[in-house]
Amino acid sequence: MLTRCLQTKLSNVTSLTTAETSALEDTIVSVKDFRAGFDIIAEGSRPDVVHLMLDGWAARRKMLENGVNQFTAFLIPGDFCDIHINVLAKMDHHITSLTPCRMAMIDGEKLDRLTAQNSNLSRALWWSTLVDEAILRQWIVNNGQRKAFAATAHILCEMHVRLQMVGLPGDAKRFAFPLTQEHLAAATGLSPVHTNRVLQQLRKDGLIELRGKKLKILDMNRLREAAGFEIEYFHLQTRTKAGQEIEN
Amino acid sequence: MMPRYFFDLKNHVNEYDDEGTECTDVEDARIKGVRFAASYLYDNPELVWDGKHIRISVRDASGHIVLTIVTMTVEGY
Repeated sequence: MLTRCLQTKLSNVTSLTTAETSALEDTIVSVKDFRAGFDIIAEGSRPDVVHLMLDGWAARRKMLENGVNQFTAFLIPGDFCDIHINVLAKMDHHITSLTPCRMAMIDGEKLDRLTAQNSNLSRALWWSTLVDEAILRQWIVNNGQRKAFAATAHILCEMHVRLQMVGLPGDAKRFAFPLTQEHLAAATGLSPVHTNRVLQQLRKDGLIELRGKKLKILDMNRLREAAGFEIEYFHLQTRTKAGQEIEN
Repeated sequence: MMPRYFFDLKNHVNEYDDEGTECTDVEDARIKGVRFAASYLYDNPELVWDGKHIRISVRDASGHIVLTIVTMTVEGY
């Protein structure tokens, strides 16, 4: 089931029927693999399909004229890159792979027809888009007001919850985390030196262990406290396995 | 492979950079160091006041200090 992560994510807000999940699966036209560091969708382009992340990590990326990058979101399996591209004219940012990525190419018109007929699915996808906006609001606070330590800790807390929401395997508190210091710096608007300093501090304070692209959260409560992280912005509406683990 | 530079922070305590950050050259290390100083001070403005300063020394991989960034305030002047 290619849309497994998406389904798991949507199950945080609604129960999809077997018919709904197979209808969702039927919108997939093909699957493509991309190498790391590749602009899967370029700013200014008009994709003829909707891209759904199946595997790997990517970022929404804006590049300034001086070559500086600002990330505005991390994308993981179960995330849409451009679900509303049928409504919009062109991509206003890049989608760039941070690791090797696998993407499902979805027939956008078929997906539109499906959601037009099915209010449950439509509502679930709306929830997903609105949560993406809530995440973006946190990123604005990270970039504008939170201190470096809190902003970086907030990203770690966010990714931990999001990975659990899509049911990715791994220990609840130790998970694959392929982001580099440069990636975290681009997400928080910090210099890589400051990001490095903050990660060292997070380790010294006994909050995390980051080794071999695995992140282990040693003290969830203190990390969330340091970040000013409040889980409510994910708007989890049903008691799911992931939801229970997230709360514990 | 880019050279690695280490950014040691000295204020009321010394915080040595054990890991370093890759920079293209000394000029890049200077820019990264100044940006780090700026954002560190943005978060911790109380560290700089009359008679107190923060100092960031940039070391290369051989341990040689290539430059130092000092920020301080003085009353009057």
